[in-house]
Amino acid sequence: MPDGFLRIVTLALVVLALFFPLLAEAGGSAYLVPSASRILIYALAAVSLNLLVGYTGLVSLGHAAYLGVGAYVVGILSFHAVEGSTIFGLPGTVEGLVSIPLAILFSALVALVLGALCLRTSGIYFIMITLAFAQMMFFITVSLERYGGDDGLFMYAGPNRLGPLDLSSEWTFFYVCLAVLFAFLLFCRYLVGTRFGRALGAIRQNEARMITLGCNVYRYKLAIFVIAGAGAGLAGALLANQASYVSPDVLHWTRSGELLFMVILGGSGTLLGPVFGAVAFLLLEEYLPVLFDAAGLELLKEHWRIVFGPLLIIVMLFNRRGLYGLLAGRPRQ
Amino acid sequence: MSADLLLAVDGLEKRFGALKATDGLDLEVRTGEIHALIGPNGAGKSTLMKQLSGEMKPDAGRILFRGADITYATAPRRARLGIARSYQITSIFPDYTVLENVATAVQMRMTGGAGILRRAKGDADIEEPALKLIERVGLSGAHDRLASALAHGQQRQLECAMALALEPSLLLLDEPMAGMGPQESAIMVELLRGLRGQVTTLLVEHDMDAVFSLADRITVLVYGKAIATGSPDEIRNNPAVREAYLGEEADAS
Repeated sequence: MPDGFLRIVTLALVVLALFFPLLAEAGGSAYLVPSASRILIYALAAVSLNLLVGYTGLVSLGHAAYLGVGAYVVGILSFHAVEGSTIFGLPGTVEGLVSIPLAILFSALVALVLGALCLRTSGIYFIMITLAFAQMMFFITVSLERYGGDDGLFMYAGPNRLGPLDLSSEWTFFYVCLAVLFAFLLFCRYLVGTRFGRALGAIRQNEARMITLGCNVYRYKLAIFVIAGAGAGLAGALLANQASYVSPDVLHWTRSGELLFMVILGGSGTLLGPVFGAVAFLLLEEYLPVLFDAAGLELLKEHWRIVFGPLLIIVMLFNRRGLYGLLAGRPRQ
Repeated sequence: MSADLLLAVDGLEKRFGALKATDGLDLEVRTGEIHALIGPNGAGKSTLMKQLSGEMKPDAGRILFRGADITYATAPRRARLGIARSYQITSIFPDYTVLENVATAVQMRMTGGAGILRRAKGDADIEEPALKLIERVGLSGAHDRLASALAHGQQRQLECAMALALEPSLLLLDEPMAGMGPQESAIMVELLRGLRGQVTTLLVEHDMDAVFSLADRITVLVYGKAIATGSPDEIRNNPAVREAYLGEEADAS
């Protein structure tokens, strides 16, 4: 469990998150609530990627593919519901209780198939092949003419319902995202604490040793690859609902890179690191240009990435465990 | 084939290009013995160990374990059959504590399906056997320390505990005393002596004092071939061995 400074920051973030819509409204900035939801969704995706990168040592550069599959499942189901047509003989739906589990299921299935292939390789080849398959998924979505192809797919019915909840309400949606992120964090904490999680960490540290201990590392890796894919699919399903729009952009390889950045910036292999990473990354991306504008630095406002890039590098140079490491101080013993 | 034969290697060959690292090698390890494998550098000891553990596939020949052909069985499969190994170069989980290292090995022996989703920390099923093993190899009191923070000799002891955690019927030890000081070596010799009769051990070691005091039988490997097998005395007095390997050093002693 986090202690000291880290605990204070964590607590502050939790309190801020719990009351964010209220505070935003009171401050006359209610428009910030959807942006905050978006941050929570990316945090969820980053946490799921961290299961691979941080806990198992599998650097996947194709995680956006599963985000995209989740988003497209929700988008396509909504499309058919509006059109009144069927897909694979089944009607579409705008009911989140149906579409979101389906999104999770599909992204898990895609992760199972792609993972089964990717995990035959390791190291740099694994990075490249995950990237390649993600690109393949990207071009598949581009070629889905019926679902908007390049232009993406508008969900004319708006966000899904979720049982009694209406996700088109910004407040409701925010708290749903928060609850989902919280639940997923608890799930991850449990998972890495199990014998399964212990074995994953051992694979990360010394795969050859695990093999001679009798571990079928391939199966372990595939299992966590599927779980991480499902987590990203869940994030993707929420993302579609957040924007009422899905496009191949969600699967673009730079998105995978951003997720990886969030994980490493925040602190890979730590439970909360990716959350910090996502918050910091998206806030910087949003507000660095604004900041430079306010300071009258025209050139930097235009080319804010010149500052953004080095800033990320500096954090990682100073602490390999990223922001989490900076806040937590020394690692254990 | 006699009943007390645990491992039989029959005409094993492994080529790296023109080099025959294992060249028609025959070897028999009996149940319960400490069988040492000695030979000059490049004799093919590590290559043989890798073929026995399944990390390397031989080009020809057979490996029989309890009479069953395991020549092409995978490394995890062999581990589950009861062949465990330790490494010449320390191979542990550096970010885990001593207890976590050994508990991971214990769980690999035990976990079949369901238990895998049980919480690992504080799980008596894996931690109790692990603590016993830690005590057995002489690391009591260090179970909370990170493996990376241990001294070299302690890491070797830890490695031994991990190999033993698999409750192997055959323990392959690749230079367990490599890089150890005299004191650490002495601890390891005692540890291995304690295993005699309990765990069949195939030991590769350069420390001749240790080998001759520990081994029940010794096989001498030269250029991938076993040139002699016998008791320490027989080996000491075998002219071919003296010529090929022990040389002047043995005369002096």
